[in-house]
Amino acid sequence: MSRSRAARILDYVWGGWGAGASLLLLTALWEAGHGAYGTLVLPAPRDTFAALWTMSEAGKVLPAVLETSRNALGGFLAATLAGGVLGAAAGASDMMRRLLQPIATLLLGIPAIAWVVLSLLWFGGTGLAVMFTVLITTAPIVFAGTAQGVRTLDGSLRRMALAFRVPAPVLLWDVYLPHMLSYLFPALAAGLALSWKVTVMAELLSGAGGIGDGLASARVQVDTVKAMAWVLAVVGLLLAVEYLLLEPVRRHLQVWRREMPGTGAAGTGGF
Amino acid sequence: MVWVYGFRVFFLILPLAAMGAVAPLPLLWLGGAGGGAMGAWHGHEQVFGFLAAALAGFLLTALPSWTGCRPVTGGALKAMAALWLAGRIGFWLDGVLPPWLVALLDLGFLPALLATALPALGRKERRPWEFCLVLAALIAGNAAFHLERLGVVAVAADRILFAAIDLFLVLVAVAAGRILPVTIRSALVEVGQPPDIRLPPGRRHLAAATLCLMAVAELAAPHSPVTGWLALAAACAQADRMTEMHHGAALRRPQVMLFYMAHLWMVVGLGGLGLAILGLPLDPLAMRHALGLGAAATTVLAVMSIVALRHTGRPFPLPRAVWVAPALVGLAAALRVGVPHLDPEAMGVWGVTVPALLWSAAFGFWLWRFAPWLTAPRVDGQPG
Repeated sequence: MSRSRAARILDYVWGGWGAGASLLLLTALWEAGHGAYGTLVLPAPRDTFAALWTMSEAGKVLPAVLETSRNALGGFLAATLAGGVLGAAAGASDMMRRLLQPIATLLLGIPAIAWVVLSLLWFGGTGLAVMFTVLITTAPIVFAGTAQGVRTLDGSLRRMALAFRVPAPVLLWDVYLPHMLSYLFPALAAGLALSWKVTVMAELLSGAGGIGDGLASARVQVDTVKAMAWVLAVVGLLLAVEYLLLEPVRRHLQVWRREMPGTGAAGTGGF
Repeated sequence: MVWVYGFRVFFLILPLAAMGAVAPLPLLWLGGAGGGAMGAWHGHEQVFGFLAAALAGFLLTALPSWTGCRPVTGGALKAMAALWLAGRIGFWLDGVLPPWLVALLDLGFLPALLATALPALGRKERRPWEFCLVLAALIAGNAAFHLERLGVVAVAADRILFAAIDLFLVLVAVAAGRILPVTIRSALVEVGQPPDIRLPPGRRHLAAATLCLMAVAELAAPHSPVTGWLALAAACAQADRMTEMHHGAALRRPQVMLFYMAHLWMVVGLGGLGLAILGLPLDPLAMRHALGLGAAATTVLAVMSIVALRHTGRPFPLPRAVWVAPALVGLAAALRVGVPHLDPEAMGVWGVTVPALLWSAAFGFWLWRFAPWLTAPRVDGQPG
């Protein structure tokens, strides 16, 4: 049963209620924790929301969120480019794979916190240090996904396309890209999720501004409410990226699964 | 004729209970003596009189058809109805009779209903354990209500009644899980779509589980912000469940739309209640009425109409007249929920008296329209 695009979008947006129920149950647990352990350990949810609101009104939150997004996305884009190109090379050529694979493994093994320290020494406490840390920690993930995708391209499918004289752009778009995406997208999603966390950590240690910097000052002031409010800001950012960007793309890529016979719309709607 | 199946007798006396439970309210409010003991009386009659009769009519009819166990008929059914009536008489004569006698008269019915449901637990499939558990909790709640009146336990009466409303909402969620697949399919057939739907259990389980949590939290800590967040979570879970009914034109058929409306009232009531507990200036008692008068009563009317149709051997579609009573009840609920917020001065007339009249008109109309079905044999000549 194929359904209209508008109905699918409504289903998706309505699915937000389910996610809301889950998050509100967590909030109830948080509130219970606050009741048991007090504000110094766990501030009340309402106080935290209020603190976030006060900080936004004072004009602190939006610049920090933008700064963090810039650092995270800048590093992530660079990582996608570097990891994508090198991964494609490793997937296409056996020699490149032998050359690059051990390096990628080595990079993956180095803890992100070590990169923060090194990049602080190399670039000083600037946004560049943060972006470099993101680049070096996420590039190996993109590299692995791209290499795997290129290596497993179906040779006979390509030969068939060539036999039918399929033009090169169509070959790229309809034969290579769908296959690549099924490998690349999970790698990109994982890389993006990682890049936010690495960004906040690097910002916290470098004092380069952004949400991490706000967390650092909350720590110095032993202000748990403010610290939780900053955590809330990160979480809000992550949820927005996940549900407004990644999940819709994921669903779009899995259209073939939804259109399988025998699955009603009610089975797939929502989160 | 009415003694051949449980739904016939209980759906005949239920509208009378509904009208009786609101009858004294306008006099009290317009006379300027609202609240207090009267509130507890009204609450108890709506929950353990009106809703309990609806539950009895539903269970005595649904359990035999789900599990194949023998329906309660004849003398046993008469005894059940007599136990229910004894409780109502006890409460109408409350003040004349001593409290222990009122308690004695009222406490027999629900345990008898549980006793009729227990054999179904021994069946192999579709065991109604969730109904039995909630019924047992309701029995405990009613007992606590009377023990409080007798001065044996010290727990606020309204706290028990509020938790009991939550338990009835759990029953609404559970019953909808069994009814909706059937009614949605019939609605899809009516609008010419293929009836191939699959409702994954996750949504209904989440909806019922959050309501159970809400009932427990209301009993344990009614004013704690934890309860407020749980109410909001329960509201979201009910809203999430409305997806099950998003089927284009089929949603507009009464057998689906009435459940949709009931869920909408649950979202409004639970959401408003949660926000009120968390400190927003909303009237919690108005939100209770969104749950009881809005959600529960709309569900009761929907179930009564569908059961009256199907179990008297009639096929879908439902007659157009099925819309009248839920529309009147919806209007009554909107007034009862809206007036305290918009114009508290007008409470006596527009917040209580007019809704009570609309409510009575709704159940009076339902009785007038559907009683002939309940008192006549099945149209297909089958027994039952």
